[in-house]
This record gives sequence, structure tokens and C-alpha cells, in this order.
Amino acid sequence: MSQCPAPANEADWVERARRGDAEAFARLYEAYQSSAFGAAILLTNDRTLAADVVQEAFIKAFLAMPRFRSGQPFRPWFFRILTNEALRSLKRKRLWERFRPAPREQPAPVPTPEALALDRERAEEVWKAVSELPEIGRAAVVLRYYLGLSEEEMTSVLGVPAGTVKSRVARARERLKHILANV
Amino acid sequence: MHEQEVRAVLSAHAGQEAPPNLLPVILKQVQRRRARSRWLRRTALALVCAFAFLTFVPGGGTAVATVRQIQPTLYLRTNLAEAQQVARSPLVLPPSVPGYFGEIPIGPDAPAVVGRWLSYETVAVSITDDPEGTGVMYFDLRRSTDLNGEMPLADHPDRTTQEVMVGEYPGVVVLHAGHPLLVWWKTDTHQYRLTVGGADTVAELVRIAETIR
Repeated sequence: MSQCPAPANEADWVERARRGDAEAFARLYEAYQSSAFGAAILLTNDRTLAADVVQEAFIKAFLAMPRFRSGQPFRPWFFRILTNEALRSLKRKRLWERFRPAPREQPAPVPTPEALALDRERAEEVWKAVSELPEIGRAAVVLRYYLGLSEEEMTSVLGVPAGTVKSRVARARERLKHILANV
Repeated sequence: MHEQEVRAVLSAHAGQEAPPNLLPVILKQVQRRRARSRWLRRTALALVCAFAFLTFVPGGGTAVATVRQIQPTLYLRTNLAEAQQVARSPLVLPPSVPGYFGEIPIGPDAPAVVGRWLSYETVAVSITDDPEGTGVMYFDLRRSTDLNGEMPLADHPDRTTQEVMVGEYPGVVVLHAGHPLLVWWKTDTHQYRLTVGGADTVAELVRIAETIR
């Protein structure tokens, strides 16, 4: 499970990356690539698109590093870029799909041992419910439950007040319950 | 529904694998975008500078535009149709047709000057509202002297001429109070004249003439 804790040397890497050190940025990339990719998959429900989102988010983050405020936590800042990029990509994808025939079904992800341990059917139902959430709600669920961000970090990532974060998470959970109850 | 359950399902769907190694692509893209951004900034700066130069620097590249744009405005004071015709016509006078070069401004409060080409080298200039009634003067631009003898050009307190080279052709610039009014030059086949309201120096006027030529 990805809870993506901040690496111990992060502050040093961030400081060096701010000055344009590609090596330091590579360390940040290695630390965050996995959770970023996972979050992007959950947000877009499309592995190919997720890879694009991750790539674009890291490019934007590297280019914006000189503007990153020293001493601030990197994780919420980066995931804000990633979330925005994922939502933008979904918007673009929807637009394209209006003019193109429906794409083929995405291949099912390779199940992990964790997934195998779950009741498959139930897991499918829960995932279906998550993927049916509106994008904003899904983003809140992914940030909270997949990345394990705190409310404060989510406030920063989503750019909304703490109360709104709470209500979004609560609404998403209510909706999940409702969808699952009707399955 | 438990939070743990949602977490587990999300993790299962996200998978544990990292994306394909995107780092080389990311670093390359960063370099490219930085280069593109630098190029865009430089291009934008160059365009702004060029615009500012053409617009605000007196006698900058605008002088050429001034020749074409101010002249019609001046002509408008007398004859709109003629102004439009002159504005459209090229700055070339065939040798067989003496030309009319119209009004030339010689300063914000100076009297208007009207001139007419009489021959390849001779121009008649009258100061239309000169309080002293100087009347018509005939300038031999080649020799820089007054033809009718009433008022030798050299004796005029404010008017002078200066010989110049317009490219490889010799020419003459007529100045009033040091301000260039017109440049005249002749090739083997044609005679050219250029009146100007925007040039402040002879060199500038000649440069404009060369550009147009």
C-alpha cells in the first residue's frame, strides 16, 4: 500500500533541485515515481494516460522548482501538480473521445498479492464504486486513502479550505456506501 | 464499508510497479522546454525592441514609413485626390516628366513650401505664406544656386544644400535651417527625389533614400 512518506534527505534534494541540479531531481523522481504512477492510475483509470500524466507532472515540477518556496514540504506541492495534470488530461481525453470511436477496454491490472487476498468480487465492486465517483471526489479519495495525505496536505494539494476537504471526503465516502449498497 | 477496505482496493488497482523509466525523457524534455522558453523570451524581447525602435526612436526605421505616411497628410491640406495619387505612386520621376513634389514641412511653425520640378536638375520652390513675399525661387540642385538671380541659394539665411552619394550615385540634399527637406539624385536613366518629414539628419535621409532605391 502506498502511503508515500517523505524521504529523509528530501529537503536537501529539493534545495539542490531548486538550483537546477538534475541529479537531485532524479532522487526526488525515484522517491515519488511509484506513488505518483499509482495515484495517476487511480485518478485516470488508464495506465497509458497515467504514464503521460506522471511524465508531464515531473517535467512541470522540475521547471517550476526555482519558484518552489524553500522550507515548504515538497510532497503536497508535487501532488498538487500531479492531480491538476491528471484532471486536465481527463478533460482532454473526454474532448478527444467525442471525435473518436470509443477506445478498446483497458487491460485489467495485474493483481497484487494484496488484491488476491481480498475477496475478488467485493474488491471489484469497491473499485467500480470508486471509479464511478466524480473526478473531484475520486481525487479526494485517492489523496486521502491511497497517498495517505493529511487534511492539511490535501488542503494544499486541492487548493481548497480544510472544511471543503473534509466535506469532499465525507461526500465521496457516502457516495461509495450508496453505490455499494445498491450493488 | 471500511477505510481499510478502500485503501486495499485502491492499492490493488494502482499496482505496485513503477512506471516505465521516464527520467531520461523527463530530463530531455526539461532541457527542450527551457531552450524553447529562452527562445520565445528572446524573440518576444526582440519583437518588442524592434517595435519600440520603429515606433518611438526618431528617425529609426520609422523614417521610411514617415515618408510614405506623412506626405499624404501634408497633401491633404491642399488636394485630397492628388495626395492619394502621390501616396500610391512610386518615388521615381521619369526624365521626360518634370515632377511636382508638393508641400514640404520645414518646421511646426514654418511657412509651407511648394516646389515643382522644372527639369532634371532644377526645382522651383515657392514659400506660399512667407510674410516677406520672397516668391518663387529656382534652385539648380546640381549646382546649388538660384537660377533667377533674385535670391542666390547660398545667400538664403536658412537654406543650404549638401552634396551626397546615394549609393553609387551623386545627389544633393536641400536643407532648411539644417533640417533635411529633400534628397535628389540621378542615375543614367532616371531621376529620383524624395521629400521627407521624418529625417533629422542628412545621413538619415540618404539612408532612407538608399532603402527605397
